Amino acid sequence: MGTGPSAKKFGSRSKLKKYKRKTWLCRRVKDTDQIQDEIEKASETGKPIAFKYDDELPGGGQFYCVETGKHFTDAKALADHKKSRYYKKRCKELKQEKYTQDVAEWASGMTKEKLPPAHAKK
Amino acid sequence: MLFVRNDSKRFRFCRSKCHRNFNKKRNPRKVAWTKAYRRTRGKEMAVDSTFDFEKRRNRPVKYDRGLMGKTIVAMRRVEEIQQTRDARFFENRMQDAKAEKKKQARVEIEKSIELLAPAVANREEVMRNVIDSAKSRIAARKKSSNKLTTTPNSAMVEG
Repeated sequence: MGTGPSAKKFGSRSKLKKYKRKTWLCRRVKDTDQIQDEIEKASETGKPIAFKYDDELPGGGQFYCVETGKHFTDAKALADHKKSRYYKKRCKELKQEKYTQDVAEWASGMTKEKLPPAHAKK
Repeated sequence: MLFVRNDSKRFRFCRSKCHRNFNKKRNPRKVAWTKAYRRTRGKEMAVDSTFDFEKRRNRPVKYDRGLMGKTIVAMRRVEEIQQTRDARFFENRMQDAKAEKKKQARVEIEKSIELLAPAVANREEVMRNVIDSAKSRIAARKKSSNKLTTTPNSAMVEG
């Protein structure tokens, strides 16, 4: 049981809730709508999502998977990742319509009042 | 409960159930018990003029006793109208539901007839056994009653 790499990471097996919570928070992956935003922005500006060389990131930040928001050490690792089930699942999720706060508010009947601006531009 | 994501977006949750489902990265549009699911699928009334009354208003309004009284009366009335419309919407939605359910059941029976056939055969056999045993019991009773009829006076007294 628990032979996967993530299970062996420091803090993930902690019984103390505060340590567990901390590791869980800092390893929290990006949400779907965040990635959808990034992709949208990239397509609008025409600039692909790229990183400058950074020693602290795996592979210097040069092998980045946009759909899952992960860095890889080399091109082979990235290619392998793109064959994985996790990647394919994420791609499927990204194709769906974006779920935003506005949609949530509409669903719960908490719409906002639209008013003319208080200080109109002259 | 409030969760602030690292891009400073705030998420308020009505209950821990919602928070946990958010942490599991579930899409509310796909979870059947959410309002988002029900409204996008047309299970609930989504477009109506009564929804326009209740809105978050970020601009303060100067206190006016008359206005407040009117608003309270209007709120009750709007709620009433919304409820009747909701009920009507539900009725419309459920109109064909009964027939549809029956149809689906029939299709299911036809699909899995192999499963049902032996059970039905078994039931027939059981019924036959029951009938046979009942017949034999009746016959036995008749025989015994015949014996009793030889002494009718005693039977009458008992009756």
